Amino acid sequence: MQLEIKNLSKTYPNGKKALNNVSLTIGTGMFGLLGQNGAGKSTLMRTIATLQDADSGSIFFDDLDVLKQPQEIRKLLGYLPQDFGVYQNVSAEEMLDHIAEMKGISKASERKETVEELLNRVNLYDVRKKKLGAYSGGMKQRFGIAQALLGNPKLIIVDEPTAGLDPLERNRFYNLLSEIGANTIVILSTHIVEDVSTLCNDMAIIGAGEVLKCGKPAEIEKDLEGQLWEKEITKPDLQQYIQQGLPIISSRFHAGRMIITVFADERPHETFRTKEPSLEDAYFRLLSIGSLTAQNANVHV
Amino acid sequence: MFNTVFRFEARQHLKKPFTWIFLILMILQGVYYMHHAGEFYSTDQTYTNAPAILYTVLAGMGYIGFIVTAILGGTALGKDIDNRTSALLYTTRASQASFFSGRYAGSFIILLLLYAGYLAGIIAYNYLPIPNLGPFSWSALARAILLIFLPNVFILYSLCFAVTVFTKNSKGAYAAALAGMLLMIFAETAFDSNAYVVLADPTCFSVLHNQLEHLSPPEKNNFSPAFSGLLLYNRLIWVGISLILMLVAARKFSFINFSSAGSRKSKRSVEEKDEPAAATAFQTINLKKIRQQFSLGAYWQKIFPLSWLEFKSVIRPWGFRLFLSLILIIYICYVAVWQQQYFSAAPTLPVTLEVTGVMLPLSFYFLLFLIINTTELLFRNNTSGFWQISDALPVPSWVTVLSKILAMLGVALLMTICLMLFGMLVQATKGYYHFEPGVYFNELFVRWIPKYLLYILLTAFVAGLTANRYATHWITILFLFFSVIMHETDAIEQNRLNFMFSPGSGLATDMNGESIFGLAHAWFMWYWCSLSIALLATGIWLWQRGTPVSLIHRIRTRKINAALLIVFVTGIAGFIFCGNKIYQTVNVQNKFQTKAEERAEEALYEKTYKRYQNDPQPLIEALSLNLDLYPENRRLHYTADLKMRNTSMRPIDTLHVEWMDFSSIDTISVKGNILTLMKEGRNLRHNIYRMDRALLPGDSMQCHISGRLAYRGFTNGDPQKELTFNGSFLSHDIIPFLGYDDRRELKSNLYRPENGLTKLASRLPDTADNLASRQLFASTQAGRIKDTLTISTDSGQSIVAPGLLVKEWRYNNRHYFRFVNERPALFDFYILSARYAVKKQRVYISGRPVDIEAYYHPGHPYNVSSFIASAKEALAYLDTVLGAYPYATLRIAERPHYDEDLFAYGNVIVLPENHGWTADIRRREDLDYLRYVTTRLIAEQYMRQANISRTAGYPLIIHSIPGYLALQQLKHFYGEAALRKRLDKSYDTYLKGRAKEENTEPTLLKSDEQADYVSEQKGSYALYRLSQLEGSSPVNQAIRSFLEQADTSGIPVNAGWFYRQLQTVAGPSYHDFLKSAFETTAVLKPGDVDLNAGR
Repeated sequence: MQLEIKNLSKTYPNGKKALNNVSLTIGTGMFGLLGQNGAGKSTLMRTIATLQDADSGSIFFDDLDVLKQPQEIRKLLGYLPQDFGVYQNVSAEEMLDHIAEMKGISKASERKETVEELLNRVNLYDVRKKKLGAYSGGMKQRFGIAQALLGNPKLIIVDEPTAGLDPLERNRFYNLLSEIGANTIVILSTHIVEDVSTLCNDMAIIGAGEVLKCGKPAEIEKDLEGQLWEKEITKPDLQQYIQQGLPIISSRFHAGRMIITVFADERPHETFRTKEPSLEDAYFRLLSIGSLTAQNANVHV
Repeated sequence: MFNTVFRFEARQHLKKPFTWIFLILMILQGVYYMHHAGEFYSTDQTYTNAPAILYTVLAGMGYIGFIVTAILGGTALGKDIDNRTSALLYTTRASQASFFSGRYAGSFIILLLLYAGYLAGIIAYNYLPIPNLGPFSWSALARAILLIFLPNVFILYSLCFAVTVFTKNSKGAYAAALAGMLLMIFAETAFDSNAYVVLADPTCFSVLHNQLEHLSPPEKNNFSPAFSGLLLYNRLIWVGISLILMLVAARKFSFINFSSAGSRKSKRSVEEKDEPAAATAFQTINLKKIRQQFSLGAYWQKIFPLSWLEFKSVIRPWGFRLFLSLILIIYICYVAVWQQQYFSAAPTLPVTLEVTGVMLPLSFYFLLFLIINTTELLFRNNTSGFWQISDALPVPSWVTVLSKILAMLGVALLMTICLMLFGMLVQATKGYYHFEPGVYFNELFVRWIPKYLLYILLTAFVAGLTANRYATHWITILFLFFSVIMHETDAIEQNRLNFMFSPGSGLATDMNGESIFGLAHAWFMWYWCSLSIALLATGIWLWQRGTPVSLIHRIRTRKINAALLIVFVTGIAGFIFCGNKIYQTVNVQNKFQTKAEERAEEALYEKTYKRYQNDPQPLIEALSLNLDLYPENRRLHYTADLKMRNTSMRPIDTLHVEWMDFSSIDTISVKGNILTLMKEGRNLRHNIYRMDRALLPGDSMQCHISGRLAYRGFTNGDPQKELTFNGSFLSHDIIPFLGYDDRRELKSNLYRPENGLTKLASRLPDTADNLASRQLFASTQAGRIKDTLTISTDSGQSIVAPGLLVKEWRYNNRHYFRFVNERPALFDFYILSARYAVKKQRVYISGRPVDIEAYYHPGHPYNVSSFIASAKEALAYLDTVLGAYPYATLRIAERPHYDEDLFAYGNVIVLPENHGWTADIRRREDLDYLRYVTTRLIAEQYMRQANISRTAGYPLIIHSIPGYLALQQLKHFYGEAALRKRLDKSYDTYLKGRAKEENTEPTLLKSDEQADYVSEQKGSYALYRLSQLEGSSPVNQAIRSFLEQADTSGIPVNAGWFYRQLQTVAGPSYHDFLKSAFETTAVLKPGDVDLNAGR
């Protein structure tokens, strides 16, 4: 199973270029799509999920042309959008049954069984008779996960799935995804680097509608080996380092002290110590050579 | 802080294009409403911009006015809940009071701006080149704004605003506005029965309309309602209610209260049990392999369960139940409290057709409700944010759209079932247990469900096109408004040109069922459904899925779907096919004419043939008619042998022959003479024949005519009651008319000038008219004739005709009757054929036997005995006043309820179904209608014995005297005091008739056929009043002696004769009263005249 995206471009009527010649090849397993807000992740997700047209390019799921055969791809798809709503006056059980039916599970007994299993999985079984309008944000998100898993999807797209989940639920969700990801293609879109580094065996970083980097998280981290340096400074000194033209890719706080990370082939100063690269560094590095300058480098607190 | 909130609120509205679009719509509405009201109320003498019209237009507020009021009243505070901005705005320095008042005032000022547009439209109308405009009264406008308009804006806005506060939901404002409209319509349609219901109207439109209906043209032109009585109370009640609601709302509004409405946590929120922190994952259960089906069959199978889910989601919210309850309450109010005046002429039993008749005024709201709910359902995935999931599901758009359509059809069915059950409930509570599920099914389900479906389909089309919830709401709702207004104002008269409309609404009768309209309705529904299905296919083709894109983009990028194309083409083909069938049937076969075309034809007739009016034509002296009716096929043929005489002083060598519409003359011949067709007038149905031998003065001739009449198919609304399946009511007009028929002239002065004719001074010839004074009132082509009528009909039907039934037999599966008149009769008879039940009773009046026969619909046996008893009482009473009843038999017959007209001719009286036959006479005092109507119609039979000329004033004899005698009969049974209610009602009818007068109100002495409000209402009361002043004996004596003289008079007499008799018996002291009542148009109000005047 393989999802092949080739030269995909999309420009909105207001002139914003959401996708610019995006090409990706995604195989079985978890694929992470990392990018800032507004980078084009959701546009790409929606396009794969048949909810949006592209101006040019193609998407193939094996032999299926996603853009030309949306109805066919929907039969294989599980989609959890970034922000979705529910019918306020319908219970979770009814709604899942409804979606299951729309996903082609025609036999009522099978539907009932599948819905019950999924409700159990996402810990909503006890409240399955309650109206969705009365669900909390986390419960609603779990409902969203359950519906995405209905109908044995071959391609699962989850867009910012952990927003609104507490840490415990987030962990549960990751476990579930990793379990499913073994036999299907799961595309996880997020702006949280940790999510990708924990879960995905392949990933892409997207910025301003373009693929900035693509590969395995470990390889991307490895690219920066021996080129990252960090130093603990006082906050007022930051401006001075910037003026010196140091290629600062990020700054963060640790125990109340600011630590800057610099990307350079050589140690900028003996006061800098070597830093073991992380995926986060790679991400910030890519963003900093993209549209960002050192002045507004990411401050990760 | 008030200023900040107020300014922001107002400025935000001013920036919205919607505000300006609505302003334009309000201006247009102002112009249109003035135009519509002007056309509707104004007559020849009333200006189209008369102050009375201005007042009602200002009170009406308009549909768009209600909508903008609901939007502004609902969003003023509700938008913070909808947009979840309450947390931001409620935590600033603004106080609750300043926020509340700032928002109220900010939206109110915008609402005033929009209503100023309505005013501007009204004022602008006065400067347009409109005929019949009077001087514009600025003072009337100012007073109307102060008393009516501004209070209305305040009342409606405050209601909407307060209800939003109470419900913490902006939709509450829509419910409030809708309730206001429903109350207005309820008051509007019920004020006839009880004037106090106008107090329930928050706009006071019905208060003013009630007044307007009773005003004469000059009064309308100078109208200035007194700020007292119902108007004052209405204003006090509603302004008071609004103030109280606003005070309560102000107290109830608090930031805490309102912010909780926007938050996710509510009383219903689900609390989860704490899961153990150690729970490592969502429970691990392996999902089994499941089978998925995506075949066409599987999609079809999905539709029903999907529809069921959608259906449940529509009927669950409180808004749905609230609205449905509201509608049902109004429905019950209508059905439970309706009185005779609205639906019928007497207190009526709750027969099923009367109950289902309530649907007509309510249908608009049902359609509105369905449009709103359909739109909400179609866009529910978008409004709830579920679209990102649902649109990625593997179900084609047509499946989801179709399931929503079916769900809404289910909602329509549910509403209709509720209506039926509530209707039956009301019937049962009124003690009426003759339930007719078949009639309910026809009238509520067959007639209305397809119409509901049409608007559901149309809404789906608009939704597919716009892909925008608000645009769908507005476009579809405004289309409905437009369509209904066009229909109501006759701007679109043809049903085939106005979406959803079909012939026959409100025209079902117990006797004749749906008649031709069942078939017509079926064709029209196929016609509109075909179009709607084609539109729906287009809507589905363009259905928005995923992120919204423009319509143009969708049209450009969507591929043609073969199945949808087939549906579209089939729909269009069906539309064209049905459209052609309807056009051929209604317009070609049944010669549909618009009202303007009818008027133009009348004018053309007058212009073409008026010159022959004074050419003498032979008068009929005897008639032998053989008539075969085939009601099942709606056809007949006849042969008529006429004995005619030249009563003029000039020889006659030319015959002018006219025939009834849809009939044809097969042969026409004059014995011993050769007729040559000189001029054929097929369009105007007027042929001119030349006789080879002129008929000399005093000579007679035998004329033989045969012809036929056949109706086919269906019409745009004419029930073609002359010849119908059950209850045909055929007039003597089936026999060709000889001469120029002045009844075919254009009588309305309002339209004569635009059709190239001068205005009429009088609609009947003057008593001095040489020709008319020699003709009898009933017909210009005959005096009193001898006739023999041999009539056959289908075996299951019976014939009712005037005269003695000398023979009745059956032959060849047909039912034959022969009638011969007892004494020379007027030439204006009618023949009825129906499946009748008959009840006969011989009564003795002053020792003379009279056979009373009641011919009634077998389903209406309720009052037959009472009818006969009332007739006997009437005969006994009239025997004492007018002498012996002129006939040996009295026939009382029922006919289908297509109009309210009552007929008396020869020895027959005919009443529509709702006049007495279904009257509720369980209370003794309600029996009065039967007594009144039988006395009046039998008295009319007496008065028709008088030889009265066809000149101005003759209705005084034919209608006023019988009306007076009927009042005397009621007085005899119930006493003078009990009569007051009927007199008041009669006075009310007079005022309404006068208000609608298209020419000039004639005096009683000059009353004519069109002004029955003068002869029947004012005339009866004038005589009754005289009897109160002078005593009934002298008046009765005058009537009797007039009748005796006129009966034996060689030349026809006129109303002046009778008037002089009255003057003689009244004595000089009452001459002023007589002069005022009979020679002027002074209003004669019951109780106005001092009983002691003149004594």
